[in-house]
Amino acid sequence: MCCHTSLLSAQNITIDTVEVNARRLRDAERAATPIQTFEREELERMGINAVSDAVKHMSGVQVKDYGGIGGLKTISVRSLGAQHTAVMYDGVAVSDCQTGQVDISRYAIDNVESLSLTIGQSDNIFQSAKQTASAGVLNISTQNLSTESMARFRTGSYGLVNPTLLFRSFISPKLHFSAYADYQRADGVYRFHMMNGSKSIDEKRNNSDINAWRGELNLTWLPTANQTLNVKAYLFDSDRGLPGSVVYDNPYAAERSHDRNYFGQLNYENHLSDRWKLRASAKYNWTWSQYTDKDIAREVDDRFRQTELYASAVLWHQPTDRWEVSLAQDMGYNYLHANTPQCIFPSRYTLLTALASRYTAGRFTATASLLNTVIIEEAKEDKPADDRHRLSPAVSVSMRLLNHTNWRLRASYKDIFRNPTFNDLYYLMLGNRNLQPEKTQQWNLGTVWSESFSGWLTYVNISADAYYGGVTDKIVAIPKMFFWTMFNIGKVETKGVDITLSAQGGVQKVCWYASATYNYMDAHDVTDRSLASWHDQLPYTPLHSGSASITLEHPIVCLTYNLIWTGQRYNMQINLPTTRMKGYADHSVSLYRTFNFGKSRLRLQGDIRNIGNKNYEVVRFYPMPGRNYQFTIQYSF
Amino acid sequence: MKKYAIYALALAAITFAACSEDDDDNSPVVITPSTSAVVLNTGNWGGNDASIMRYDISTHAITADLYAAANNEGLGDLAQDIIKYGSKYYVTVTGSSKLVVLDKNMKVIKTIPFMKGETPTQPRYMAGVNGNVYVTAYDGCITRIDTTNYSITGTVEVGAYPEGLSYANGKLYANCSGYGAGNTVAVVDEKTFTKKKDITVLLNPYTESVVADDGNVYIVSNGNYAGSPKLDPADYVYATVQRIDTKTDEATEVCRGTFIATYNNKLYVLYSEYYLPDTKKAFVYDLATKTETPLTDISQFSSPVGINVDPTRGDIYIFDSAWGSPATICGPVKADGTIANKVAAGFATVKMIFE
Repeated sequence: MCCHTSLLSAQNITIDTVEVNARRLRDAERAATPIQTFEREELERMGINAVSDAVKHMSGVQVKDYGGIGGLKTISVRSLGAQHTAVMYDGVAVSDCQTGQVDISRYAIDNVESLSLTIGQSDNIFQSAKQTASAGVLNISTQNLSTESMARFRTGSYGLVNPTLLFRSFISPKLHFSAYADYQRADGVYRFHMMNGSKSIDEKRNNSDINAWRGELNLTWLPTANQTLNVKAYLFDSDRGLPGSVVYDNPYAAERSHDRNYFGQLNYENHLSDRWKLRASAKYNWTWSQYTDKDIAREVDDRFRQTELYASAVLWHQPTDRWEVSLAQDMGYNYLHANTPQCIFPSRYTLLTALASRYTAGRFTATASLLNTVIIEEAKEDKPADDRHRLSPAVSVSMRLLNHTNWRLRASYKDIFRNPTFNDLYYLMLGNRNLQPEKTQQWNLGTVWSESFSGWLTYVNISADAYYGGVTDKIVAIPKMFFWTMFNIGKVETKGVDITLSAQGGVQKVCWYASATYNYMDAHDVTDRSLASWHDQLPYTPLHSGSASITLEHPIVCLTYNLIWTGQRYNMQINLPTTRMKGYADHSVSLYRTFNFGKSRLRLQGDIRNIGNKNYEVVRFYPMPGRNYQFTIQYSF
Repeated sequence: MKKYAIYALALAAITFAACSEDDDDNSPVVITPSTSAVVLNTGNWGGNDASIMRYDISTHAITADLYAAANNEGLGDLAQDIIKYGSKYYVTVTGSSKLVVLDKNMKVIKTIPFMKGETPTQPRYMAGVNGNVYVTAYDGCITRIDTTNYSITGTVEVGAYPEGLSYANGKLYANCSGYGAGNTVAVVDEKTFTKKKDITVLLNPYTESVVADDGNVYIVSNGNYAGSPKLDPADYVYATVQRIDTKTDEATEVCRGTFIATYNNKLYVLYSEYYLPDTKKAFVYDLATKTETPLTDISQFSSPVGINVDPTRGDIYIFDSAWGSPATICGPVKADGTIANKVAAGFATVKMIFE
C-alpha cells in the first residue's frame, strides 16, 4: 500500500490539514527560495528521534552539536551563524535575547507534524514580520486536528528512558483538544576514545545526565469554516549536567544547567473572503535558567530570567488575480534579569513592519518585501545601547520554464541583520554597547525540478542552488589591550552550492525512498588582510558536507539507513594543521514494523546509531557518543 | 608570567653555587649572552593546545612544539608558568591541573597531578628556592615540591586564589587575588614554610610579581576596572604597580601598570584600562629616579599578553595576541621604540626563559 502513498497524503487527518500539507509541498517545489520540509510521515519513515537529527538531513545547514543526550544543539544556515536562524514554534518565534540562539535539543520530535527550513526570503507573504526578519527560519509545527492518540516508550543506551503521551480529540465538532507530555532521563555516561598525540585517552564522559519534562496543551476552535483559533500552553523543565570539553589529564566536570521555559500563545486566523485573510498571534514567554559550577574554592550560581511579550498580525489581500499584498506588524518586549554582578537589567522593544507583495503571471512569480525594524533599548540601571532603525529589502523571482514539466528557475536576494544580543551589548567585561547590527546578504540562484511517474520510480525532485553572500559587521569577541571585547569587526564572504535529491518508488511489495544532499560551502574570513587568518575558512565550516537516507518498506519490516557526512574543517579562525579537524561519517540504521489492529496500530522500532563507533567531534573536544542503540514501542489509537 | 626574567638568572646563580661544590664560591658569575629562549604558550581555554617552543635570539627563528615532539602528546590545557631550576624545567598546566618536570629536551621526567580528591586544584605560578619549587594553586595554598625526588613535601595556606609568586629576602610573596575580590599579598617564611603575615595591597593582586635589583618585590593589582559605568569615579581603583619592601614587608604604590618586567633597576610596563582605553601606554619606570620614559608605541599591538626582558642582554620582548591567531613575539624593542622583529609563536605566549 505504501508505494502509492504520495507525499501529499497522510492518514487520519482532516480535509483542512490536507490542504495545509498540500500547500506546503507545492511551496517546496515552487518556492523562489530554498525550502525544505519533513512531514510527520517522513520523519517516522526515516526513524528520526530528535529535531536535530532531522535538521542534519537538510541542505545548507550546520548543526553545532556538543554531543550527548542533553547537549546544546544550534543551527546555522549557510555559515551565517546560529543567531541568524529564527525558530518558530507553531507559528510564533522562539526568542532568546540573551544569547540570540535557540537550543533545538529542547524540542521533542514526538509531537512534531512538520519541520521546515526556509533559507532567505520565503515567497509565502502571508506570514509574520518576524519570519521576514531572519536569514533562515526553522518552522516547527505540532498542529494536527487528528483524533488519533498515542503512547510511546523509548529506551536506549546511556540510561535513556523516554515515555511520551499524546492525546487528541474533538471535544465538540468545533473544538479540538490535544495534550502532550514527555519525560526524558539519561545518565549520559558514555565511553569515548581520543588521541593526545600518540597517547590514547579512553575515558567516560561524566556529568552528562539529563532529566527533562515537557508538557503541552492545545485547544483549537473552529467557530466557522473560515476561522481558526489555537491556544497553546507549553511547559519545559530540564536539569542537566554539562560534561564540558575534554581537558587533557583533568576529567573534572561540575557545571550544571537547570532550565525552565513556560509559554502561552494564541493564534487566530480568519479567511475573510477569497481576497482577504487575517492572522494574529500573541505570546507570553517566561524563561528561567540557572548555571552552577563548583571548583576547589568557589561555587557559582548564576540565574537568568527572561520574560517576553510578543504580538503579531498580518493582513493579506489579493486586489487582482495576479497580485497579492500583505502587511505584517509585530511587536515584542523582552526583559532580562540576572543575579550576576553588574547586570543592568536590560529590556528591549522591537517593532517590525513588513510590507510584501507577490505578482504571479502564468509561469512567472515575483515577490518583493520591505521590512522596517525599530528597536528601543532600555536598562533599569545604567545607560542602554542606542535605539535602532533599519530598512531591509528582499526580492525573489521564480519561473516555470516549460508548460508541462515542473522545472523552475529561482533567484532571490535578501538583506537582513541581527541585532546584538544582550550578552553582546552588556555582558560583564566583554559586552560593548556601541555595537551595530550584524548584517547578512544572501544572493541565491537555483533550479528545481520534480516529476511524478508510475512504476518502479514514482517521484523525483532535484534542486540545485548556488549562493553568494556573507556577513558584514560580524560581532566577534576580540582581544584588545589585555581584554576581550565584542566588536563589529568581522567580515565573511560566502560562496556555496546546495544540491538536494529525493526520489521514491516501488518494486512489488517493497517501496523505496531515497534522499541525499550535498553542500559546498566556501566561507572565508575577509576581515583584515594583516591578520594571519585572512581568507581562511571559517571555523566549524566544512567545505564539503552532505547527507543521505534510504528507506525500504516491506510489509514484514521496514529498513532505513541514514548517513551524515562532513568533510574536514577547522576549529579556529586560523587554519593551521593544528586547528584542522578530520571529517566524519555517521551511519545509522533503523528497523521498524507497524502492526494494525483495527483502528489502532502498534509500531516497534529499533535503531543502531553511529554504527562506525567513532567518537567523532562536531565541536573540538566534545566527542560524540559511539555506537548506540534505541528501541521504541508506540501504540496509536 | 614574565616576572621571573631576572629572577631566573638569580636562580641560575644559586643553583650554580648549590650544585657545583668544587667551584670556588668567590668566583664571579659570568653572564654569557643568551643564544636562545624557551617560549611558553598558554594556549586557548579548553583548547588543550599549550606548547613549548625555542626561539633563536640571532635568527629569530622559532621551533615547533618541543614538548609534543619529545613526548608524542600535547602539553595540555592552559600552561601558565615555566621556570628553570637546576637543569630542569617546571611547567604549571592550570587547565590540566598538573605540574610537569621536564629535562633539557622537554621530555617529561615527572608529572605531578594537582588534585584534592577528585577536585583539581589548578597550579598557577612558581618560584624555585633552596632545592624546592614552590607553587601557588587555587586551593589557596603554596605547595612545596622537593626537586631531588619531585615529591610534595608540604603545603601552607596563604589566601584565596593565589597567583603570582616571588622569593626575596628569605620569604615567599604570593598575590592573593581572591578571584578579583582579594587585596593581600601573603608572606611565607621559606625556611620554616609558615605564613608570616598578609600585606594589604590594592584590589585584585594578580599574575604579575617580580624581584627587582633593589631586592624588593613589585606586584600589580588589577583594581576594579576603573571607568566601568557602574562605578563612581571616586571608587575607581586603577591597575597599579606596588613595591613590597622586603625588609619591612610594607606596600607602596609605584605607578600605573598591567604587565611588568624588570631589568637593571628599571620596570618595563604595559598599561591599559578596559573602560579607559585612552590610558594605554608602554613605558620604562626607573626605580632610582622614579621617572617614566616611553618604551614603544603601544597602539601598534592588538592585545599584548606579556612583556619579558632578556636578563643577559637587556632586550625587551612583548607578546601580542591577535584575534583567532597565534601570538606574536615582538622584539627586541629598539632604543627608538621600533620593533626589531616579529615572529608568530603558539597561542597566547606568556613567558620566555633566556639561555
